[in-house]
Amino acid sequence: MTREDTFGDASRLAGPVWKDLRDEDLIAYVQKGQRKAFDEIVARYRGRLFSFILRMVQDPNVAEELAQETLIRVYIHAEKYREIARFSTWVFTIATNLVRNRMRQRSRQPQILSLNPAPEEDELPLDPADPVADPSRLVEGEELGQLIALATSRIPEKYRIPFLLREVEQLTYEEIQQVTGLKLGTVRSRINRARNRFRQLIKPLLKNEALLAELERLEAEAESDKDES
Amino acid sequence: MRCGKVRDWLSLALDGQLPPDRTLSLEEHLQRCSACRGYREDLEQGRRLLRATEPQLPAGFEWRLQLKLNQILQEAAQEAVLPWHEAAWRPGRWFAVAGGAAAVGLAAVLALALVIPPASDPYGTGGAGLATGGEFTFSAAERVPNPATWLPLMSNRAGGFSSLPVDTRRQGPGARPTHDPLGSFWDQSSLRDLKTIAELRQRNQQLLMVYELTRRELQTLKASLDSTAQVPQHVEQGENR
Repeated sequence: MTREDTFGDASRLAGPVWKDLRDEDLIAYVQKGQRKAFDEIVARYRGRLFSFILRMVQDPNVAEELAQETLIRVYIHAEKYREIARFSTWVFTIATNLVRNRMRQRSRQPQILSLNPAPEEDELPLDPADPVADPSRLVEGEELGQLIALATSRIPEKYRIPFLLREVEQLTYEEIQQVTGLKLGTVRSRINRARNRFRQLIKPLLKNEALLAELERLEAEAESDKDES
Repeated sequence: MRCGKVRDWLSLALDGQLPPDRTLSLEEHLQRCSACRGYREDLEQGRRLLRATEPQLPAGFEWRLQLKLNQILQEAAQEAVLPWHEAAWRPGRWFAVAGGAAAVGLAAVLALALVIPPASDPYGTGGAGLATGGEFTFSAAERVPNPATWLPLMSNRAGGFSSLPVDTRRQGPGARPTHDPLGSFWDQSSLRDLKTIAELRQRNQQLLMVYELTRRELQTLKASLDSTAQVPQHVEQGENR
């Protein structure tokens, strides 16, 4: 199907067809005023955005607010998108800017008490009392998520953004360069450092056989969810 | 080859960014070095863990998003139809508009007070409205404010009335930038979207109603749960007595 065929007549598109379109085609429909195309974009990106932002700000309320703000900006500024970059790159650029602004605001406010702040650099040793550091415990679904979130929060912020964009969102180095405005070499080295730090943090968990079994269960669950959808 | 260097390369190899000649050297090293093989496994496990434990989206996320978006679009639509659109976000002009509005309000109150006689005349002014003492009265013509004195306050700078958005922003190199919170969106498509906005407003009302009903249901449910949770305590206390 050519691009012209796809855009032949928007009114003829029924619900399920939106699912078959690329993100870039959907945003083109949004530019033409098709609200349903935007609904499909929301369905595709809401979870990814919330997850990415939550791992940056560690506050579900703030994460929801910023994820919604990102999607609203996508809708309102849809006309500004040009297909010179992937749509996901554009979306995550908006989200990253919002996250950075929020963190900057937060850093300007006086710090009252922070129990587990992310270190500025990645040389800090692991805290022996850290729950992540106890390999003998039985770890299950939600708790595993919390432990990983805790470990992620210990990665310095400047490394965490490129790390999450690469590991979770699977953006290429060039796309991460566009999102963050960093040089390509800096992107590479920050991802490398973040991986190293993350590995140190989860190393005790990786010795836990129950955890590995849980990981396989979660992966199988995610796979079956994908097949159903 | 040193393990430190190999670990830098491992990160690149994981992303398929390592050149082929280095990939060969890396594989050779990995065959000999179990520590680096373990390092690679850890990186792969870390990636799997991150992807398998994505946080769950909070319930009602999409409802709240729709409400917020509809609200923003409504506000933008109201702003777009204001005849003094050009004056938006210029504090000096807002003061002028606010002053004008206050004057119109005051005039309207005075007009009402003067035109509509009070049902009773508690102050004994003989229909002189707010004037006390009964000596100061208005003629019929004076009671009705002249529209010419307040209509210009509602007109746009071009000198006429308009119920449609008029983009009178100056163009060209000397143009002064104006703050438009929604960028170019409304400049290009505000007229086309007015109908959509009316529909959105209606939908927003429906959503608000559903939200309110759901909230009340939840409250009722919570109250009934609380009351059932308290029963065993009373029963238990009764039995102990």
